[in-house]
Amino acid sequence: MPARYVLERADWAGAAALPMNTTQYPMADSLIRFTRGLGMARTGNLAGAKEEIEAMKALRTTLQRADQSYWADRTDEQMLAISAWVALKEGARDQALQFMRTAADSEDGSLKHVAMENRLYPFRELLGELLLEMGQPAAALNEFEIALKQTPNRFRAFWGAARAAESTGDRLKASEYFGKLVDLAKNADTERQEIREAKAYSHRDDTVGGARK
Amino acid sequence: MTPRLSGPRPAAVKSEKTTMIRAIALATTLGALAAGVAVYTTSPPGWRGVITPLLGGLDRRAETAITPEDWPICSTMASVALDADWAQLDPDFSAGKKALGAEDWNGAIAALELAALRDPLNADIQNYIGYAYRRLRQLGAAIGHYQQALMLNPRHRSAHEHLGEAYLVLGESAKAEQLLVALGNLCLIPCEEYDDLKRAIAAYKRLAAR
Repeated sequence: MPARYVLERADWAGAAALPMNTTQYPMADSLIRFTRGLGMARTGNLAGAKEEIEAMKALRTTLQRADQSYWADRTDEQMLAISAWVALKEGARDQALQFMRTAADSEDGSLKHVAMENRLYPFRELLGELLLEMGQPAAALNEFEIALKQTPNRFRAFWGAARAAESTGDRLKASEYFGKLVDLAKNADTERQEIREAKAYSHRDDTVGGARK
Repeated sequence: MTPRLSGPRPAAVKSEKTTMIRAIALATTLGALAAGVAVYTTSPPGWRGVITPLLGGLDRRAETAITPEDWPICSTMASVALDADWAQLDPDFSAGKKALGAEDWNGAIAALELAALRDPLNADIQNYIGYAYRRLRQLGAAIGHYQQALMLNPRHRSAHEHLGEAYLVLGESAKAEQLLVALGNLCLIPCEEYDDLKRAIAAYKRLAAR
């Protein structure tokens, strides 16, 4: 849950600082390492992210040798996802995309384990994020829309799809996804920055639409 | 009313003939396979004796669990007989692994086959059964189980490596190369299975060049 909490809010500094309390379960430790590594990569602590990847390699070996190849594959995807963001920060854009796409394809090709309530952070969404960061909003929108089919009604996917649509100039889709985001958070206790921006877009859109009328 | 003829009807005769032809074809194929394996096992390829020292190093970590022999085996079978406390394996799966560690290949197959009945989607079990057959030098069965492991989990690294090594034993280096390429795509983050198969192929090629 602590991992979900920071990831879902895109609190990358919080993710990087997540305490690493090891358990007897390597697959659980791997999720925490992934969260920390991704947080470190996205906040520019590349050395720290690489250390997390190294620690995850050992976890992967442990899982494989314990005949838990399902979980070993999940750890592999997590390592690829962190590596993608490290590569992006290092300017290796093609490699970044290859890592992230491989992680997303692999995860999509696997069944969700019964022990997991749902995916910690759908890698298809993270691929969309990466493409947005790389200035490819059309491709990003495509990935977010695929992600929404597989894992519907997710805050970060609506937010990503809305921004991608806005960047491509697709006002209709941008309006649709910003609207869905606002609707999703209508009962929230506090208003997040994403919601403020979504409302601002909708308001601007209404104003522009009104002026046209 | 059409009189009923005694004896089989034409359609039934045709069906019986088809069945018989299929049975003969199947028996011929199985016979050829068995002969092929027999030829292989009784006449080991010349390179095998030479490749063993080269591959011996791959099995250093397995020394406690599996005694190296004149048969290329991969490093990822290290500590096969050990179970992690947290893993909670099926009792037959666990027994199968212990049998592998004790080099009781037939016992391992029997136990693992039972485990596979309860967990038919488990690629690890199929990979181990394949390994046991390989150690019994029944390469046809071994390859079948490795392929089944890869059908269940196309990303299974150990099964890729094992299958590649089995193809090398059969002298089919092109197939081993294909598996190395596949492993390369799986191991964007470097993995020992890729390195092991790469070394095995390189050793094979050195011997083939002599």
